[in-house]
Amino acid sequence: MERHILVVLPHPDDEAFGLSGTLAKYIQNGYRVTYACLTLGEMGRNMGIPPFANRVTLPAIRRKELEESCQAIGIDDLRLLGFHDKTIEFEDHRLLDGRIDDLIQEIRPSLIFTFYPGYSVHPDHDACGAAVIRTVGRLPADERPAVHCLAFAKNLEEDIGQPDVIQDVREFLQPKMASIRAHRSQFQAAELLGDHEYTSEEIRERFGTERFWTYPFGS
Amino acid sequence: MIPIDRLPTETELRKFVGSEVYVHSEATSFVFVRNFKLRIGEAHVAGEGSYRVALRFDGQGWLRMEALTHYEVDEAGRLLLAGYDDRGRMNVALHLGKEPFPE
Repeated sequence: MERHILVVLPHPDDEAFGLSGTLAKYIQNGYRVTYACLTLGEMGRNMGIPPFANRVTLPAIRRKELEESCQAIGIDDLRLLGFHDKTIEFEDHRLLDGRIDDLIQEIRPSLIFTFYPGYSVHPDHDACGAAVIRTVGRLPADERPAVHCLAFAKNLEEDIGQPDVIQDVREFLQPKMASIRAHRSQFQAAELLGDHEYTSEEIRERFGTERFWTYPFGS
Repeated sequence: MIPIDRLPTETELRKFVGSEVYVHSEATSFVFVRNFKLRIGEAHVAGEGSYRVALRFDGQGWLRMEALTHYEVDEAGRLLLAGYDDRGRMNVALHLGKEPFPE
């Protein structure tokens, strides 16, 4: 059986810092990855330094950046679901969950990555994760793929404990850094990458580990 | 103005669904728009403590505001939502009425 991973995230670039290394690692190990990105990050504030984008051109630019990031990671199946940035929490649950369920039925993933609902800071992140959890939760227990969640809220470990999946991605920093750099409209700020020449030791320290929480479904 | 409670505020907001409404919307330091006329299709309130409000209108658009904290329905039946900081300064406002606001 083909081993297939489904990634469901709301914005282009959500994959870059926390997940790209892990995906590159899975792909090298023979997995296929489908990445469903809910929006084009149309409402992003970062437009490049100096600005090379505007509100009208940003969606097309971010789409190209996302395609380049996917190429760097090795993802060959990108699905753009066409929702609008900052509106996921207001979308009709049946519509949103239906789109995710269609993908699950088509792909039959053994593993899904998304955001941990309630612990992912941005309303789009939480609403995206909640939609995935609702949809997977409706599957019969023995058909549910594992769901590994990104989370980064303050104090989250008091509530949901320590991450139980730790991915060492030090061998996959090249695709990871290429994924981050692909999103040049978003991550050009000096404090991130642009003006810093990190030594490879610094990069390994800062970017070499990715952490996930397995979502605890009831029975 | 009374602190927003999500459900009662959403109930008030949804009384405008299906109607043509005049909107006054502002983000104090940067922009306001007065008497923007639209037909509301959906109305939502989300958040805790500080709230996000979204209107889907005319079958093709969104109006979304965040940092809203207080609301009231005035004697003319207009729904007045606003967001204040901890020193009582207004940051954002979203007002809905069935008649134009005075220009």
